[in-house]
Amino acid sequence: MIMAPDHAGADGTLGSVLVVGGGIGGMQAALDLAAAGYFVHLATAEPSIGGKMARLDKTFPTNDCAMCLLGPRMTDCQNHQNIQLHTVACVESLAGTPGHFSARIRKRARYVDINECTACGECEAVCPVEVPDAFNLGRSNRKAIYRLFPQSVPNKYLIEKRGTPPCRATCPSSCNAQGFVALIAGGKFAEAAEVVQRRVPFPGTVGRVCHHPCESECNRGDFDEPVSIAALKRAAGDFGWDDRPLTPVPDLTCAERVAVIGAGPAGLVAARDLRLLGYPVTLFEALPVAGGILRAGIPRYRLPADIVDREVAACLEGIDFRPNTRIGVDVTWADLRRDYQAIIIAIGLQKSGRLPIDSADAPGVVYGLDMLRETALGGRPEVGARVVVIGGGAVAMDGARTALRLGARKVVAACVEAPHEMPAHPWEVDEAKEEGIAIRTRWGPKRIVVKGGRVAGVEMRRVASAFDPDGRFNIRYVEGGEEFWPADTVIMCIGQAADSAFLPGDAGLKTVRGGMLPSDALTRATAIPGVFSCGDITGEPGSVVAAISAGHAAAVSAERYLNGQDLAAGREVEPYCKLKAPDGVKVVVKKRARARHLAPAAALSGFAEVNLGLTPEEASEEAKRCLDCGICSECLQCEKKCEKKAVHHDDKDEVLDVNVGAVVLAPGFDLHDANLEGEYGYGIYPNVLTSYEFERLLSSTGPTTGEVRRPSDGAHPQKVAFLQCVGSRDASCGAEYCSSICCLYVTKEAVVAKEHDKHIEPTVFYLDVRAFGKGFDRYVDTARDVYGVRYIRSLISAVREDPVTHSLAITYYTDKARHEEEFDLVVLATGARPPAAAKDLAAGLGFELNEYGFARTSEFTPVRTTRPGVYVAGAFRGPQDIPETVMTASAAAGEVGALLASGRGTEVRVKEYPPERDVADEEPRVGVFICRCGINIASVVDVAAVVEYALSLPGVAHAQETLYTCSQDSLKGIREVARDKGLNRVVVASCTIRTHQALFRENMREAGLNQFLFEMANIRDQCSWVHKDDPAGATTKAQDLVRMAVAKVKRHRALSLEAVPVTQRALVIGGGIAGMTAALLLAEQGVGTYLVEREPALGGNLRRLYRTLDGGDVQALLDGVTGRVAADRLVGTYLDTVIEDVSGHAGHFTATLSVGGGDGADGRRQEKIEFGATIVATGAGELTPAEYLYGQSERVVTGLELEEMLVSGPGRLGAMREVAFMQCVGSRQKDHDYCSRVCCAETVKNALELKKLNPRLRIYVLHRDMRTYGFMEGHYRRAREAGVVFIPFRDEEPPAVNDGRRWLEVAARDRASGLDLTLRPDLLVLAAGTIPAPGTKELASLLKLPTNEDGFFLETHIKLGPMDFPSQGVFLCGAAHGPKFISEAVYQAQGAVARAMGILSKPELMVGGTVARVDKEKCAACLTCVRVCPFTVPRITAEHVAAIAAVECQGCGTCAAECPGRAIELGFYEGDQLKAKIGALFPEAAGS
Amino acid sequence: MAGTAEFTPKIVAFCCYFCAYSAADLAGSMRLQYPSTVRVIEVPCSGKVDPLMLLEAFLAGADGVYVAGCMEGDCHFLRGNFRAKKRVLATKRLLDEIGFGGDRLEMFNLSGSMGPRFAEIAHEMTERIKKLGPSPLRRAGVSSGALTAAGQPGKEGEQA
Repeated sequence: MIMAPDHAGADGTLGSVLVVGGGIGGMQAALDLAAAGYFVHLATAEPSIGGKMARLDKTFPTNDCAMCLLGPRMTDCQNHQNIQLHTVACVESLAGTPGHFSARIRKRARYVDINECTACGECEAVCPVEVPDAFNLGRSNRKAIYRLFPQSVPNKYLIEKRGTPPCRATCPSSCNAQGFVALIAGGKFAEAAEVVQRRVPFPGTVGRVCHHPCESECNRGDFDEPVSIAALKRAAGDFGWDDRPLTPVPDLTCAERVAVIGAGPAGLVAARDLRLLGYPVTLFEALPVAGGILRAGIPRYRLPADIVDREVAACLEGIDFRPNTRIGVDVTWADLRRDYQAIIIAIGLQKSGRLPIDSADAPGVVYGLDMLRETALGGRPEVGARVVVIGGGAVAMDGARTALRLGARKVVAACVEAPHEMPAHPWEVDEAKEEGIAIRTRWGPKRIVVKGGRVAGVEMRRVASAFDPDGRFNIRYVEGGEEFWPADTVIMCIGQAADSAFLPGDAGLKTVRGGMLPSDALTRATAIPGVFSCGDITGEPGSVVAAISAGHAAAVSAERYLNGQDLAAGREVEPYCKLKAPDGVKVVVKKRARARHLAPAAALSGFAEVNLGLTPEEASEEAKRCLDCGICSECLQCEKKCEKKAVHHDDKDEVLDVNVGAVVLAPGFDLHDANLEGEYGYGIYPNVLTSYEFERLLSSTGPTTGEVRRPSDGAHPQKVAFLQCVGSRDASCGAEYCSSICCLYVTKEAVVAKEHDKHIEPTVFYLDVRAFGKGFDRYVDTARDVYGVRYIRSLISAVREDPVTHSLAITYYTDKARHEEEFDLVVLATGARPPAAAKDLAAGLGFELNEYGFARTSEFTPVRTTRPGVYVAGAFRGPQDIPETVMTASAAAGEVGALLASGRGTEVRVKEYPPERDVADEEPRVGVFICRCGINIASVVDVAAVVEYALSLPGVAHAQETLYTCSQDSLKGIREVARDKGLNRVVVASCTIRTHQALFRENMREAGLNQFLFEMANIRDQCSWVHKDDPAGATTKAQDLVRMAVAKVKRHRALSLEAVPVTQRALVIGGGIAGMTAALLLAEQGVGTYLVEREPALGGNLRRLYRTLDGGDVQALLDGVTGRVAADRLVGTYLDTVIEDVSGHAGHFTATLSVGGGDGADGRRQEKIEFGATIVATGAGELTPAEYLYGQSERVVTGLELEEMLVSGPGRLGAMREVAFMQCVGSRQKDHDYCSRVCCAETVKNALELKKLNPRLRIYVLHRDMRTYGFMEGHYRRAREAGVVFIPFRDEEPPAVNDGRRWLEVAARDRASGLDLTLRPDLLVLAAGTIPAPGTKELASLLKLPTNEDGFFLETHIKLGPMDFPSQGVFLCGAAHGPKFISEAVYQAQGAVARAMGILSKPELMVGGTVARVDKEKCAACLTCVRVCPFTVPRITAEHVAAIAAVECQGCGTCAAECPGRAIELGFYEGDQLKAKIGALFPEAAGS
Repeated sequence: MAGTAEFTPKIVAFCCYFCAYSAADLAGSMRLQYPSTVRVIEVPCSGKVDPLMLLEAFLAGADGVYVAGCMEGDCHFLRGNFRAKKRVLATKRLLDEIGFGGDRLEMFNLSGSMGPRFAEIAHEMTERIKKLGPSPLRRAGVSSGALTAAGQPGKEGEQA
């Protein structure tokens, strides 16, 4: 049992943890914590977990497929019942104290219900909006509704929305312009018409006459010209009307009756809205036709009557329309008040304004509105040859043009305004002029001149100004500026007035300004409750779209009024804030489409429409100019298409407060913005890419499906240059640090590119190759020697492009010469940056960032931020590779485990299941459930035929189809059928076991059946989706797969998991910093730990170290840690002790220790210990150099020896005149072909210490590559600034050392200058390499652990399993894994503890299922299994048979396949089960 | 070989869960189209596939069989795919020796992210088997049902 940790109290410490970041670090921390008994909230800002690694094609140095490594881990995270994923979620604040935090998480709306979405992709197919896919760095496109990548976890869609685009925001009727434009771009006119109709029921009409304020706001106008939105709206009406999806008129469900007066646009819209809500609506109209101004005002040549008629007729459907009915005459106001519960007045303005001048009513004077109305309704009012039109508004222009068509020969329009002040829209004036109408501005009529009882002309006066300085209408005339204009007809178009005579004086409604009936701007309410007014009658500046908007508003209010609701609540208008075009949108300049017009002669011959509109093709092309400012256009095609009804465009962001005991931050990193690298031409030259883009180019799910092609011409590049350190080691761009990962990822990209296309010749231009990680140097060597990757040490200052070929010229210097070389493609190795969210996170959560913007940590507490209880993992600590990310993530989990030890297990979810029914003796009764997956399967596979076929199979007791088998109701249905029909086996034919098997197995348990009595057939991912064009073949295949699954499942047997008790104690081997850290952290979690050290003292290498490069006091650290170890009652320390024997398995091991100081014959004693997990922390040692006169001259010392001298004899060192350092002594050489990682930093540290002692001391460092990775780069720079001279030499030209009488002589050739140098140092310091600790080999053999070719322990996986061994229950940390710094050893030790706690935190392990079992009767103990098992699990027992411990078996089945006696079976994949499945390949075998 | 044009082969693919099975799913996700000739049998590791399983597939009437494991060096279980490769090669030799034709059997390596490669392999194998024609066991005119019943000793012992 775990003992109570020392610090634990009954303080209610929380047992849950918030992990921020869904990359490999966040996932690792979450999985470790969940395994150790904590509940985890995993919040990621992205729509999927996976992080940067999901974007990688391969990983170095093994060239493993990144997604293969990541996929299973993502699934584990998703399926773990103690990990809750929060996607598109940001953590905003954190309150409380360690153990008792409350974190606020904001989850952005996805607009797709992830519980319903099946990722069928139908929504994506119909989405009209394509945007650059950021996942592929914009090198390919995706839709507005999308998944982050095809293997996303959760595999669910989401919608990207930026806000309301300006076109829609500025439309008075809020018509969704981006929506219909996007649909037209895809040729979907009918769908576009439907989108328009949601707010504007008359697309063809409004498209012709709208004054389109949207177009002035269109962001496209900033690039060239606005999109022709109005013309496109017309196109939607013209080409989409007949096929548009109809909104069915519902039954009359409401009792209250509504009267609408006036069938103009406002009245029609209000009436339609209320009718669609189920109200009985009566629409009164004085004229014989509906449409108002649209039908009886605007001339036919602008708006053909048939267009208006059909659109208005559709609007009137279901409405009680009463034409020729005048209120006050045919129906009284009192009648209305009595018979209707709500009244909407929308009578518009029908009276023409009148001028108080002489003879204004003389024969020959006509009024514009009257003339237009008469003409529109089919009359032909008489017009003389000479016409003067008075007025400068829309009616005047229409009147003038109508007069021309009615026979006038000369038409002059006069207005008092100056040209720019005219009320008519400029295009109206232009069109009038084009037809030959003379426009004379600044003229007003004085009087009508009548001769012979008829108009003879107008006396006009010249206008000085129409408005006073305050902008009020106030005409001043020019003295004496009179003229006589002869005219046969004068058309007066000087404003409109209302006719509110129908209202009795006691109605309670006040009219203003000549009959206007104003109403509340928001609600359209008048002074009388239940009476509303909208449209031009309100006296507000009018337009068709404004009237439509007001009609909608009045309808909403009427409904609210009738339901007794507040009219205004929630209808506040948000201030307009223009949404800009999306960032980085790329625009190819293209003028807007212009519609063709009738030739003037043809136009004037009648009332045919002048503007001919765009053709469908022109419209689609024009629509493609839209910049998709809102990204999602809210056209709702996805919502309509989704059969699961999973799309909800109205979803809102959600704010969630979670109580957690601790926080782990793993938000990852960003990449340097290559756009800032002008000298390399990124963003200008098409063939300059970032390494990240190149990675996507290599990926089979990338934009070119893995083919390497040049962006400029799609050609296969041959010469590819990689430029290192772009935005790294460069203080000028704020990144003095080394990004640590670029040297290797570029090497990988070069190698993989070469594998993709052997003609590629990669060249890497670098400063230092920093291959400091495990196996990295060999990887670079292989790249160079086997793949022929060229490495050139040269800093490239610029790239030049050949403008014709788009090839790129690079100048570099090497071997004292200048070279110029041309490349087909240039790849920039862009460096790491803190994540964009870093500052917000730090401010919100209250921790500090370091000078570079990464989370500040301290070297001996490497995963703690400055806020207690908040930990950090991965690249947010600083640039680092995947293994370090995994180690620090586990380390954070280890630290959290200690902090929250008393809360462990308090918040985990434990599920209760019904008892399992024993079916062993029953005949198989199989239930087969065949999923339609909406239409994903059913549209290709004949599901009914498969069901029928399944029913015919022997042993099948039930078969049915389900719409979505994974839905909760279907799962429940399966359980019910299983119970009712006594099923004892289940087959689900649906999608993939990878995502759904766990769910269905869980359902089996809930149904009281063993989870292994189940089998899946994949008839979607591997059938309907890939055989779309072959429905017959797909159906046959589906039947085959079902038959095969049934055949197999009939032979399944229940597999029970057995509980293996865990000995909740640990063994830590090695008492250095890693071992002591691990032992202490285990003890803090309440785990009793045996700490075994072969030396007589604790401390390991720390005993010889004094200062770290960052200035840390190593001896103080050592004293502190050894003191704590000695004091901790849960740590039992065994010095001078070796392990003699180990046996057992994860959860229970026994070992025999040989302890010094005993009373045995050899002065030793034996002790047997038992424990559940082992941590190997045996460390490493310094190699004893055999070269450079080491051991022969006392002037030659190692780095560690110098470090001791710095403490013991600084005086002697201070008196020296010259010191030389020699790097890579025993590293990166024939017998030690690896980098020792720490030596470069050690040398820099010691050089700086020496400079501190004596600033005049000459110091030379002879090196091959300076590998001061990460933030250590700053110290390297300081050393150079302090005057330390760094001299690179070639690998093949090592310096020579001779001992002289007074000093040493060191001869070296500087590889940069090619000069031969001779140094005469007083002291030569050899950076001696690191080698595995003595005894490593013996221990490896004792514990059956693998080592690599260098003798260090070999972990399960270099990327994702850096602390694990293939043997379960044994973990690795510290320099035993490979050379490392103190901070690195500390976090790896903490991580190893977290890994071990996955076992030690549990009282028992549940094992079994898909594991191998030996049939003792058949086993001949031939040792085949022992030999072939990759994990050395099988053992031969005392009974002389093989035994495979279920707890250790990994379930690969290799032994089962190789066993000559067929004595081994792998659960769930047994021989007869697979044989039955194979045998059922053809239907004839169904009977078996 | 008459009627090769109409011949639709049946091919069994033993796919490792960690790579080929995932790649097949990805091909589906990417909607890559390939012939409906392939029946996938999922195994935890290609190292689970033994020669008898391969022969049983042929006995059941398969015209072609392949094993798809992880890329070499990437095996989730360290070396399973190398074991599979050895067994496939040995079985191919055996099939050649008995005159059945080792070309009907193949070993492929691919990673879980190689959806396009999975589809390509399905095309490749289908084309190859179409050229080779129906399995000699099927061509012999024996119905495959009879064949499986006759060809598999111990069949009668199984529960009906």
